Amino acid sequence: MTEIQNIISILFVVMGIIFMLVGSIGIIRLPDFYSRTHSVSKSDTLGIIFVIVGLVIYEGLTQSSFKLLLVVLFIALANPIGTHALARAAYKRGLNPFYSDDEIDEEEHK
Amino acid sequence: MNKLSFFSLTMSFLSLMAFWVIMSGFFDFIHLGLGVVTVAGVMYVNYQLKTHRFFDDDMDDLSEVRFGRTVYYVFWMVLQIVIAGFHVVRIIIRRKMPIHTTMITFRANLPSAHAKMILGNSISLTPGTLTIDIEGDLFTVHAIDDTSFAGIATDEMPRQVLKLFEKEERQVVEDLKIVTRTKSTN
Repeated sequence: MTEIQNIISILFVVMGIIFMLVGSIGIIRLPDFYSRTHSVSKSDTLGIIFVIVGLVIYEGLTQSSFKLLLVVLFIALANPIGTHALARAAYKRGLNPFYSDDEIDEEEHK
Repeated sequence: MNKLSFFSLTMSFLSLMAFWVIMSGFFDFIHLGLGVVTVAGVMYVNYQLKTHRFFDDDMDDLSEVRFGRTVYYVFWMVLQIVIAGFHVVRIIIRRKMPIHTTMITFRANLPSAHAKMILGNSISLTPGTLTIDIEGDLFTVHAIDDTSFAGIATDEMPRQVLKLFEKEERQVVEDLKIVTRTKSTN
């Protein structure tokens, strides 16, 4: 039983780490601030949730796993609010988003 | 300044007490007694904050929310978070990066400021969309590709939020505008 438990929890933690890695690659690859915010908020939230769920499975049904589930809940609540605050601040300061169609227009004019 | 009902006081006491028990893990008299004292202190300090009206259309009471619906909504939201993660990852690891960034503005016809807050949060959590600004009824949303704002355009997701508060179904999203260029001449 503990063998299976360990394997499942390792799978979850590895998957979470992969998600966070891809989120970080997304920050470099995507073109502007707003789309980078997408990559940080979405895949990092899921990555952290996967890591913590892996730890919960490793712990089994103890008090610590309930605490970890609370951490998941608070991350899921706080993450969209944090990204919204960042994006809103950028928008209010007048940062124009990158539009894919702008690029197509420029190529047509050349 | 509006008063808190007995129901909402009881609900906040019970949830804070559950939080205390999970954090401490002891069930003897002294620890539970200290918990009751602490929860009472927290509720006293937060009383003014909870009775303060930040917007004109603040929700008056927790009992306006339909609880059976909320359970369904939470599970639906967890599913959306997972789909959102996979969606973004699939975009990033493709070599061509199939993005088509657009801004969407729309008006949402929702009963209270809390409903708008929940809708804004849900938009940020669902695949490919990000709430940038809410002013009154006007939402500004950034979308990373064309499929991602389909949930808003077809009115499916805002209706889920509306169902948390009201039984009847109606159109929530109005005046949907899609901005795809910096110069909006056409």
